[in-house]
Amino acid sequence: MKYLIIILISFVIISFKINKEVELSYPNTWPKPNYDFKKKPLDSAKIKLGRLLFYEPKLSRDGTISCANCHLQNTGFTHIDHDLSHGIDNRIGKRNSIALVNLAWSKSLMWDGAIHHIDAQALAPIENPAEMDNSITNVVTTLRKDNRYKKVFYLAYGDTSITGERVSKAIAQFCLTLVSSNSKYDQVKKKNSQIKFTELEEKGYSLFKKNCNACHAEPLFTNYTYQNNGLAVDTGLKDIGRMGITQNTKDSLLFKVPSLRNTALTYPYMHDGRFKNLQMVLFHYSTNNKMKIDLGEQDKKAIIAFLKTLTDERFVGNKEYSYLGIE
Amino acid sequence: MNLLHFLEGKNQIKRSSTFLFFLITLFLSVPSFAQKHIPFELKFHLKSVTKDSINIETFKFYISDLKLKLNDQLVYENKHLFKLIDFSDDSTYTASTYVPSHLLFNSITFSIGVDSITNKEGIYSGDLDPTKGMYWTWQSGYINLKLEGTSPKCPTRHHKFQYHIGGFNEGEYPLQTLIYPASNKYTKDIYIDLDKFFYTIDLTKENTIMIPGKQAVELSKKMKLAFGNK
Repeated sequence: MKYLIIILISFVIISFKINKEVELSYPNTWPKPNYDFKKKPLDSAKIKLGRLLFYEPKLSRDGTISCANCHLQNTGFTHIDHDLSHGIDNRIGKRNSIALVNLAWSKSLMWDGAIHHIDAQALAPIENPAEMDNSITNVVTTLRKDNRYKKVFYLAYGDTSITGERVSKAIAQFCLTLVSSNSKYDQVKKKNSQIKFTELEEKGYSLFKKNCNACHAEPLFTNYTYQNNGLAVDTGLKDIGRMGITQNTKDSLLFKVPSLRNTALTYPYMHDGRFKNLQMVLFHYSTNNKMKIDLGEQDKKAIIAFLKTLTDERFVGNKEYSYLGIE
Repeated sequence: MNLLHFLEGKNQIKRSSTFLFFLITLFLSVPSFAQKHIPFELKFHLKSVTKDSINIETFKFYISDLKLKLNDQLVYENKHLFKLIDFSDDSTYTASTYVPSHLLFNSITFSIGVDSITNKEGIYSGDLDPTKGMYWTWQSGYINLKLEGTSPKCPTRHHKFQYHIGGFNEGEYPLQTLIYPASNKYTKDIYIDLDKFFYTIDLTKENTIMIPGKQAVELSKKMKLAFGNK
């Protein structure tokens, strides 16, 4: 009988542990995420740890910047108004900080797909000299000295050991939860929806489907490919894009098709942030030679009106994603 | 009184059933105890380099996928073994695993580096933790082998040479598998002779290879020579 009680108690304990598992919620019309949640399920304690680390300036060498510096929630998890990303000591990176959204569907990360797995993503900005200029080894040493983190690591992983793998994977867990699926567009698309596009938005939507949807494919508004959209090479940056990773000349000047979700919030645009607003983006598409789209002024206005329906106020205001001070 | 006896009897049945349950569990777990496992060790030794006044500063690499074979038949495999051998730390010179005792084998096989499937699934703990300095961060993926040092022959800054060999995509996959003859011994000494590697290298030209690609694959093939494999 004693044994039975012990067995029962241990079952209860185990089931408590399982209960920490969280399911990613997204509309049932969406494709399955690319991330393998069966192998590595979301876990509320790991998400919380990741969220603390996302806002932790100790990740940077001089303790001044966190992930959130370049990925602000209220502007769709990007750094607005800055063409290139900013690091410590006023260092400037070579690309525009990308908006973090619906990353569970992403097959690779970064403008050139340099990072093939989100579990390893956090290591890149931590170690990039133009960003946090730190090393993951040093981050682990710093966090180990901070007693407040012992408890959080314990709750997330079952012991207080702080490792590079755990730091990076916890940040990945938090980033995987950044799902934007409550824009006006999403509400219009729901079955029997009362919410309708305006006439201008509707016109923009049909123009979008005709001209843009091949790359910025619904419902995630990207097809996760790499494209050359006809941007002239910035002679200062000399950025060769995807080719820098594959060493393959056919990948020269290709950059990842970014998602357009929350795009009205995430200016400036393109991998080097060269366009300050959507008008400039559409001017580029209607004038370049590589990927030219025939658009009149009214068409451009309509497309911009449609793009604004991809803004998800609930996402940028979601308290689950906001700054969480460690106790 | 009768009732008490009855209850005691019932209790006994319960106790004996618990005992039976215990016996069954024990019985079921016997086979795993039956086969004794003993340690098998690969010991790495680095010969001193004599060519081109070379000075080695860093030499570390992963050992993975250890296999023991008897006449080309697989008799033991450890797919979970990823051991970082780092010649700046003498506590890491040995890769060990447990194999069944009385195992007969006449060849040993292992790989230098981290295989493509493991790489594709992300990052790991232990020797594979990214804090070990064997994970690329400007692009993702494990570094199979790091060899760094100086030689007056290198026209680089401080006469440095730096080789970071890695990559896991098709066409640029430098994972090398080594095969050694063996004779049932549970310790294998492997002597690494980097001179054999450097004899194939022109340090005036090939001195800095730190990205995946064809050059890294070529380099990994040359490195096999240092491990006494072709």
